[in-house]
Amino acid sequence: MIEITELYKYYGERKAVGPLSFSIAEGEIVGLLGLNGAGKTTTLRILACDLLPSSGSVRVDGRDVVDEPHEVRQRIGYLPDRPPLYDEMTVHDYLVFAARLRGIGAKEASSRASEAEELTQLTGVKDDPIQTLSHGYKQRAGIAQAIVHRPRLLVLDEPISGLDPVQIVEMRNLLRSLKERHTILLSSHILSEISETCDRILVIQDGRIAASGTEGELSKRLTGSTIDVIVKPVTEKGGDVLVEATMRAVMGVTGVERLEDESEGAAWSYRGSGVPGVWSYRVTADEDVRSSLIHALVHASVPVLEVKRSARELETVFLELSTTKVKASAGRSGSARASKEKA
Amino acid sequence: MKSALLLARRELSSYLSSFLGFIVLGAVLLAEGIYFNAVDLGGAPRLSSEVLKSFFYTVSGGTMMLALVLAMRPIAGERENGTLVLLNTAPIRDTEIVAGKFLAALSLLALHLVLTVHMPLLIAVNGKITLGQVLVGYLGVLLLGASALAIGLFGSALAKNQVIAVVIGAVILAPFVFLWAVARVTDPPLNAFLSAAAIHHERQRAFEIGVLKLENVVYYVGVTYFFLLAATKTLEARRWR
Repeated sequence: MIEITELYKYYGERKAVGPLSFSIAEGEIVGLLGLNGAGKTTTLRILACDLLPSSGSVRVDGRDVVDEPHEVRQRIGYLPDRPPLYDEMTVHDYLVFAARLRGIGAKEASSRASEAEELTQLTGVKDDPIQTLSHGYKQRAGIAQAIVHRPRLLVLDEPISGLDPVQIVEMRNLLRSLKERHTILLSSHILSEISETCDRILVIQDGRIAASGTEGELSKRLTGSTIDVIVKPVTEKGGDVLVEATMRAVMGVTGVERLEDESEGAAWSYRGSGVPGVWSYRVTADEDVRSSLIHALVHASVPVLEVKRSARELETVFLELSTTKVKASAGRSGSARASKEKA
Repeated sequence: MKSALLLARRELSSYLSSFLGFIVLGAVLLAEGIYFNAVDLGGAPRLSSEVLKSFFYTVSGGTMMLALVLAMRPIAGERENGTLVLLNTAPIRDTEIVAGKFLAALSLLALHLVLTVHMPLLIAVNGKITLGQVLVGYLGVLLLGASALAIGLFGSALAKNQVIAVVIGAVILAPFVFLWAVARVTDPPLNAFLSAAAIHHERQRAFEIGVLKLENVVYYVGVTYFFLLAATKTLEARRWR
């Protein structure tokens, strides 16, 4: 659906994007994740034919954005970071206008507008002037104008930003429902949103893809496996040494760290639960060694309460990816491979 | 062209749905009315055709100012509000965007001229004027307005916001207006060139007395076309930036 090869974009002397290459298959929902200034918006604007690339090739559904911009625009629904809304118009009139701009006849435009209102749950406010809508509704109106001409590809620039928690959940559901009809590329710096909504994440840094994959893949590649272990205190003398040694002896374990701070790891959930002063450990390993850990601990008669994969926040992964140059460049070759396989 | 008309219709309804549009229109009409009463009708008795000529001179000034104000919003205002991207990413040509904006603002300029029609009627009631002078005079003002509008739209295409747009428009238009004065103090053959390039005064004189000259029409159409083209090219060029 999208094929970007060696894309560069310069603003004067300053490079905003490049070299950027990735591809997205039909029906995928892909998140473009990056810090401000990483080149997300520029990339999306080029896809939407709002900007022209400095060099490289960008194709949507086989059409080049420079040679056939009209064909590309017919196939794309674009929501910029600020929804392009005419405040004085009503929602319905605005959507009809947006549909007609994309060459849909007057009669058909009205029914398409109603369809988009239904999908984005705007039917209740369709006759309200846009300026009276809340931020969440405005964002939905922005998405409605992007889908009103039934494009095959949706390009959404930070659709979640500025929404309250309830609106975020609604927007997430909306995006999931849109997935059935459209291929979606969305950008964000809200990481949890990306991981929950997208099939795949492209981490963009300095205008290049720093890494690509699912949240799990990204996390694993960077960090191996981290496991949180909680045990009841072993009261015998030398109990703590026994527990640590038992875990260290398990094949694949590379490190065991006792977490003293109760707010770290999983121990916080035991506070006030009647289990006095649990011992909490963070185990790092080359692979997932949970079953071997449990086996070893039980065998050594250690009262195990919990063994689980550490819920490493994507935020951490993301920060490591976008701030550590060495790791980023290592990931880059991997991402190129990943996107080729995908293509 | 269908897209241009669609844009023009939206633009017009947006002008008319805001109080600001009416306030600006009302203010220009009021200023013209006062000037007409105080200066054009006042003073020593004159021939009706002379009064009508002064009327057109008065209205031409108001029209140029109105054109600059009307032109500031269409492109720069949309850029400021973030709605220009909707047009930029729709399958329509930049020519159609500029044409749509131009047509909408030109319709309002024409509406403004229609609303001044009571002034020539007043002259007709108290004296004798020909329909030809009225029609040709109005045509001249409309052509002048179209040129000023095109200049303003070019400023609007260049500018980041509406204030800068109107300033750029005024900075380009003002020399065109005052070239005739420069021409008066310049030696030949330069003065001939300067007065031929001037947009107001000498260029309007023939229209004001009811004489339709092809060269004058060609001049205004040429200026309008040139600046509309420049506005279109500016929109195109901005995609490279």
